[in-house]
Amino acid sequence: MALVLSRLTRRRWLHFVAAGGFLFLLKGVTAPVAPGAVDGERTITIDAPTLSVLHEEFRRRAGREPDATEEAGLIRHYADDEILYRHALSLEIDRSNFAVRRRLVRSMGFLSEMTEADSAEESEAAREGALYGQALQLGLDKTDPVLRRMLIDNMRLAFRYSALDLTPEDGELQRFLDEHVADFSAPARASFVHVFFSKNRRGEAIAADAAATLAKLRQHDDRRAARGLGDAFAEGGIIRHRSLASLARVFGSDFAPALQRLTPGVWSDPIASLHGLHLVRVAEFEAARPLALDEVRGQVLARWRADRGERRVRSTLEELRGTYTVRVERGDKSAMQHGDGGAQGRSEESTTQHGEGGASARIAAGAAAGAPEGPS
Amino acid sequence: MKRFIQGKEFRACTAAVLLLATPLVAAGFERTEQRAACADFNRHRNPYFGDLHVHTTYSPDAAVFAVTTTPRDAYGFAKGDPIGLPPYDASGAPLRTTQLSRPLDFAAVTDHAEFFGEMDICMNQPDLPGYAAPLCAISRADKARYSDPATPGTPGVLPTSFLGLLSNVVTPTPARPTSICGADLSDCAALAPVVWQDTLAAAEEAYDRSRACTFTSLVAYEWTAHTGGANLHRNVIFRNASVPALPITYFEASKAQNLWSALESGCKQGIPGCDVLAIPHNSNISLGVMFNPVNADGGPITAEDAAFRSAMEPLVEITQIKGSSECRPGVLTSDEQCDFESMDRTSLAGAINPAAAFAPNAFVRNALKEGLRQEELLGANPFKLGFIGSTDTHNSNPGDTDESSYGTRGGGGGGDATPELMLSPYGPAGIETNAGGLAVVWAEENSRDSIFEALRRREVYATSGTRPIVRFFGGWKYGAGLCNRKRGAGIADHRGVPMGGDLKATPPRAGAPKFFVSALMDAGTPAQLGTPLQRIQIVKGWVDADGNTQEQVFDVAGDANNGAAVDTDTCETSGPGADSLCAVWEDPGFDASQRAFYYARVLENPTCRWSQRYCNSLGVDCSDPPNVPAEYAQCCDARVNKTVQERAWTSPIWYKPQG
Repeated sequence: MALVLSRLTRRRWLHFVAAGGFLFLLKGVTAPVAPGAVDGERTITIDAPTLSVLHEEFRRRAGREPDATEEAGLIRHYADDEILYRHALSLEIDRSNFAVRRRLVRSMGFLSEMTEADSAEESEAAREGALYGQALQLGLDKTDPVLRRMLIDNMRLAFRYSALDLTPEDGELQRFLDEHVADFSAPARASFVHVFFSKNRRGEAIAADAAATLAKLRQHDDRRAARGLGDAFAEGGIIRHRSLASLARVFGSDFAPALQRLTPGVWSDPIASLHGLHLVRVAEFEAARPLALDEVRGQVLARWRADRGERRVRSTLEELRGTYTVRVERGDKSAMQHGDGGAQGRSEESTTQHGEGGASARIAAGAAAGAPEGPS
Repeated sequence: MKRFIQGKEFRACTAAVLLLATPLVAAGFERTEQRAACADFNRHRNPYFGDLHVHTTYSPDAAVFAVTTTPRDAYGFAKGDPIGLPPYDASGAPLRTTQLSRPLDFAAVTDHAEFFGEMDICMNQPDLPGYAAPLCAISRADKARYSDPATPGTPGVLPTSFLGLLSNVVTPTPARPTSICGADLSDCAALAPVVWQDTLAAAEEAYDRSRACTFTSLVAYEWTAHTGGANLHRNVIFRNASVPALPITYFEASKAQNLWSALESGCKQGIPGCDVLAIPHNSNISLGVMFNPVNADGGPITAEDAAFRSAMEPLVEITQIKGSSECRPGVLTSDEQCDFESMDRTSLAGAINPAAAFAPNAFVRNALKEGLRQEELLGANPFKLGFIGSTDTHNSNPGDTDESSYGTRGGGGGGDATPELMLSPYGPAGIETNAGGLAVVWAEENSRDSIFEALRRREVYATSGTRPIVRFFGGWKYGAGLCNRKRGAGIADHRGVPMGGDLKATPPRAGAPKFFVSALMDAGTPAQLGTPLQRIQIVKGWVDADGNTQEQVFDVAGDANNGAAVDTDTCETSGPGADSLCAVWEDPGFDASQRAFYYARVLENPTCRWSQRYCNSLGVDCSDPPNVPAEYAQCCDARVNKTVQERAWTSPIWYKPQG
């Protein structure tokens, strides 16, 4: 791959998304994922209550129960979140992320205000550090659902932003530009001089007036020939570099197509617009064209990095999935409904592996095997 | 001889202008961001059409009405993509869609910033304790109801969640809901930045930074002060992507003056490259409070207050879905054209009462007059307002102002998804609303800096939703034949000032000021041709020798009695109209000692109002009253206008006595 990517020499991650106040001080985001040892920490269990919450969420959105494929999607999404959360904890993002730290300090400060009086002697920094320590001791970083959400979102963003330092060679950017040519093109434009005949002012005489003027113009055709001829036009007699869409606003929709058929450099036969007739001498057509890399380098690079970031999110998640086992435990609905108290959990396991879409397919298959009963 | 001299002068100045337009010299505006110069750069400015007031699912009053589309979708719509509207079928697919026939040049998504975190918790965060808060549960229930075509809203009944959320911005001492945000508010504080970040990202992705300059997004939000039921809302528009980490909302600044101060310190002084302005809207339903000349403490404003206000708020949104705020018949005016999309209520949730006591300063024209009077008192004009129009749509569909489809589309998600709701006299959408307006800027190119500077210098105008092209200049030396000059507008520009400006100092023996105004009709599209123009008016407001404010409306081009007509049964139009109009007008009542403003109003020929088109499509026959269903009664109510004259309002040009 033609990437100028010096992973070893490049400084490690320090991405500060200033406006959002998220500080990413991440170590090892791109480090290889540990081989898929399956132990207790590498199993994600989706128990019956969790599953029913997922179902309820789906019902709220769609107004019905999910089918087997949709349920598998819900499970995969939940498992992905859990994987990202655990990954964030394993990288100790909860210890190094500014926003996380701020929240822990705030939460702890709130708790301590409820239990003890403020010590006014302490410096702000010391107090902040103490609160943070207390929060970690109490395990607030592991129990706060908002923090969990922040860590998951930050983990996704970290993977995405990990592409921000990449700078591909021109060949790669050009290839990307070619693939997205529709997003990077300049509209067709025209530059021309016109002599205008107002239908309001000239009425019936308009065609004859235009023809007579055209004859004059064709006899003495030079740059200044149009001066003093025809009527005043609100947007002027010289139009430069206007896109065909913006011409339609001024002249009406039929004008631009007629204009496009003209030969540059010669006075045209009268062309009708919303406002009357125009004798037109086209100076230049600029065809709609794909923009060259040099014209849109910044935009293309931003899009390329965003695209690469998305791929990183997908591929890293894929890699991580391969190292986890997802267990789905179902309460036996019919048994529960019959209220005999002998609800027997059923569970499915799936060890996810590498490969685009493979993991989800396997989970889907597992879920389908234990397809939910329809409502009885 | 005189003609000859003028022509020579003109050629000389044209040469100067051409020199200025070379890339080596300043572009006419300051570029504060990294981007390419535009291919369509025009020193004499091009008109760009846009919408600066758009809500998406990030606004609670869109979310609870089951709108699920985001700022990304809104920008996609502005560029020509279709968008879905609630309600939804069983698979979640929208049952209504809409699409622009002509994409916009620019747009700003302006979601209500007050509830970014709250709504995210209510709708998307079942793990958080706030999700179970009663207001959240009701919000989700309302959203579910409006999502379902089987359970549409009830005319005149605002959903409980909407009222609950609104109550947070009605109280003069606002506090975030701890039931949702947590006792220390930290849950909302943690999630609000995520929503704001996504808003910024959507704007960035939509912005064309290449030479092609096909579309400009502006980073923005709405500050939602609804103190005591008065609509005091402002849209806060940023110049570029250098913006504060979080919007300043009603919770942080509950008074407009505090908002401006916070924007001054938090953006203009606080962040390199940050620049901002605020645009008030719907003074018509502000209980007359929007343009009261008082400061944050309720005391009289000082010269400093007035100058600061004018610097932060150079514009007003004069028309939108919830009515026109220009003027109202009987409220310090006898102008019959003020009977245009008037809301017959003094506040959003107020009772409909055409005979209510409408405060003069609820209307922009009166506020402009009050501004002149304040300037006389203080030396600074607090209400020096240029005009834009916009939609205030809550459907993520900027610029969707088509009158013929508004009946089936509305502006408020599932809250107006049935004929009963759209034709209700009570709302939430209802018969009093309209399809909304557009903002037009005269800018050198379609980029953020160029557009922002045009907004700041007020070289902008409002339309009621159509796209006429209007120029307006004021000066002292305009020949009567300027409309017949090949470059009339260029000469008027060079010798005077464009819309939004101050007349230059009066030269010796100048007489009265002159105004050059020209309009091209909206060309329309092949499928829907534009409507010809009927006339151009100039509205003058001034303070007389006794210190009283006055106004007068002049017809300056076209013909009020041109014979154009519309058949309200078929909505077919007939009779003549103008494809373009132009006039040079001199103020016949000019008094050099009196402050004055002048703005142009361009009227199209009459067409059917949206409600008339909709009633016709529903087959309502008003000649047969017993057979008109009760829910369609407004179709046949004489108080509902059957026709409208779509229009444009230019920003004013001000005159100030010298010395």
